[in-house]
Formats: sequence, structure tokens, C-alpha cells
Amino acid sequence: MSEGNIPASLLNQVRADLRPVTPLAAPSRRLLALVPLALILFFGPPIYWGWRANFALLPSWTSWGLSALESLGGAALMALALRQAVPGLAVRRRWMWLAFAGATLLFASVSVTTAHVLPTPLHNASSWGRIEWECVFMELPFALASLAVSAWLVARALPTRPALAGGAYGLAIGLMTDAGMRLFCEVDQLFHVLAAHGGVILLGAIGGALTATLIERVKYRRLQIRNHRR
Amino acid sequence: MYHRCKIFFAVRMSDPNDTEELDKLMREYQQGSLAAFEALYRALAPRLRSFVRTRVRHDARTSDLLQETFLEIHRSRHTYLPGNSVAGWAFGIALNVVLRHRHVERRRDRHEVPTDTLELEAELPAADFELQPLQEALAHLPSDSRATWWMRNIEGLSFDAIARRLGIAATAVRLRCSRASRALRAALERGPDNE
Repeated sequence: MSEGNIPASLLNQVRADLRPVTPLAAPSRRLLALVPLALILFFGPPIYWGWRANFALLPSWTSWGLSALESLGGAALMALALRQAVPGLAVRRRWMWLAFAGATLLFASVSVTTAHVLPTPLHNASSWGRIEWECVFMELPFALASLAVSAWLVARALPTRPALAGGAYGLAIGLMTDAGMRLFCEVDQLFHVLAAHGGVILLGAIGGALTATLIERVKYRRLQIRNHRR
Repeated sequence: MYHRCKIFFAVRMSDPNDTEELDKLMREYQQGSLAAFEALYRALAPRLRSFVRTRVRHDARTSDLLQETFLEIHRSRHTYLPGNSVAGWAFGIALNVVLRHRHVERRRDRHEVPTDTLELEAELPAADFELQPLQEALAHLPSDSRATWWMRNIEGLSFDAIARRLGIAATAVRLRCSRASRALRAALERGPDNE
């Protein structure tokens, strides 16, 4: 078959649905749509749950500065996820893994620095388990809502490796949520921060990867069903 | 792998006129022009075909996947960002289709349909014709064509049911069945001596 000849079945399917489409906005512009979300994640937890009791004791570069840095790191990772979802713009897998490593390092550095500047142990060592869960459950509502919005933005495109794109936006949401959460949670003990706050970030990354993969599978399955009906 | 394909295409598509022309065609296609789609097909199909073929190494499957790629290009035409490389975008979609195909194949391999030609005798015990030539002709078919033909003609499944079981489009099942039947007919007409 010559390449000039388009198969009739393909041509018919194209002809049947030739409505004009609006191209997707560039990843940078789609990222702008997430700015309000980043602001909610930044200011939401401390405004809703209350500012940390020892907020005044923290130098502003440690409180506002490191939180802003973490939030910006999350935004950069989100930009990467949105780019990864567009065919032809995806970055190499090794760069994605490097970005994941960078995000993890950023979170660890922020946590270690804060613990060093203002070491705040738990008042009651026996209550550490309860406080861990409190932090996780207080972060989750913010993280889940943002995860849903990001998942929708990525699903509008066509990620070649959905798990990677999903992992990136999940990790990004985790970082941005932690940026706000550390303005609320007054416990800077490393074990607590790494286990509870880091746990939410890890949950975000895994949840994002699973959500994106699931969405792509569902999209493909629906496509197959539609093809069968034709 | 994806990066390599982008480099490969960047070399082939270095002519700025070609790139600009494709971008213009893509914009027209997004506005609903069928002529633009046809021109894009002619420009991209040969390169996409070789891209897919190097990854699946099977001619019949390559044709199926090329058609699947263009269908996906059509469905995802809104994901092309004007001003970017059309070729890079199309290769990204082709890679997506190939990876999806591999995933479906891996899943199918776990639930492989037995198509041992010896089963034919068990399925048709009262046949009053010689089964040997058919068995030999079946053995010469590619495994996926044989499985499709078997499910359709021996198990009596519908095209839709086969498509669901194999995780491919119903049109691809039809295509495979008709190719397999044609190949079987040709092999039976030639006879064992002429093979």
C-alpha cells in the first residue's frame, strides 16, 4: 500500500469528527492557572488550622523564605509534569528522576535547616503517634483537592509515561502542601517532619502516579468501547 | 529512547520550510480542514511507519499501529501547541501508541489463547475433509493473526468480543481476520507441493 493512500476506515473516522479544536495552552500558561492553588496551599493550612505557636521565634528567612523556596520547587516540578504530558515536549526520563531527587533533597534540606535553627521536640513523647496522624490528616484535604485539579490538567493532554507525569505532579503538590503546613506545625523534630510531612509528600507522589495511570487506562478503555460501537 | 527519536527527527526535519509548512498544515487541521489532514498524512506516514516498524518488527502490526497512531493524532490534535515541531509531536504520539500496544501485548500474553493446530481435530471430530493442509497453513501464520482467526472461525467469537479480549480496536480485528483468511486461502490453493 502506498503511503499516499489513506485507509478508508481512517479517513471515514477523521471525516466523521472534524470539528475545529482549540489548542491546549502552553505548559507555562497552564501553570499560571495553578497559581491560586499554590497560594491556597501556602496560606490555607496556617489560616485554617492556625499559625504555629512559635512562629515569632523563627527568623523570617526560615519561615517565609524556606516555605517560599519549597513552594517554588513544587511549582517547577509541576511545570515539568505539565510539559511531560504534552507529546513532543516530554523530557528524558533521567531528567525526571533527577527532578524527583532534587525535590526530595529540597524537602530534606528545608526540614534539617528548620530543625537546626529552632529545634522543637515534642512536649509529650508518648503522643508522637497521634501528632503524626494529625499532621497527615490535616494536610490530606488540601493535598487531595489540589491533586484532583492537577490530574485534570494533565489528563487533558496525552502523557506518554503517565506514571512519571503523575508522580511529578503528586510530588509537586506534596511539596507545596508542606510549604504551608510547616507554617502551621510547630514540631520541627526531624523524625516527625520526615515521617509525617515526608509521608504526605510520598503519598502524593504515589497517588499522583496511580491516578494518572488509572486515568489514561480509563481513557483508553472508553476509546475502545467507542470504537466497538462504530 | 524518546530523546533519540527527537534527535533522529530533528536531523530529518532540519529544512525550516518543511517545519513551517507542517506547522501551517497542523493549524489548518486544528481548524477542521480535511485536506490538511491528508497532506499531513502524506508527509508523516512514511517516517512514522519506519519509527513504528523499528519498534515492533512486524509488518502487519506496523500497519495496524500506524493507523492507530493517526487515529490518536486525530483525537489528540488539540494537544499540538502551534509553533512547536509537528514531527516531534507526532513521534510522541506514535511512541505513546507503541507503548500502549506493548502493555496490551504483555497483558494478553498472560492470558494467551491456546491455538495449537492439533486442537483443530478435537474441535472438528466429524470433519470429512483432510485437516493436514489447513493445520500447516495455520502454522505458517503469525501468532497474533492465528489467534484472531482462531477465535473468530473456530471459537465463533464476534469481532467485538475478540477486540475486547485482545485489547485492540474492532477494525484491527477485522483487518487481521481478513488478512489471515486471505493468507490461508492462498496457501490452500497453492497446495503443499508449491509451498
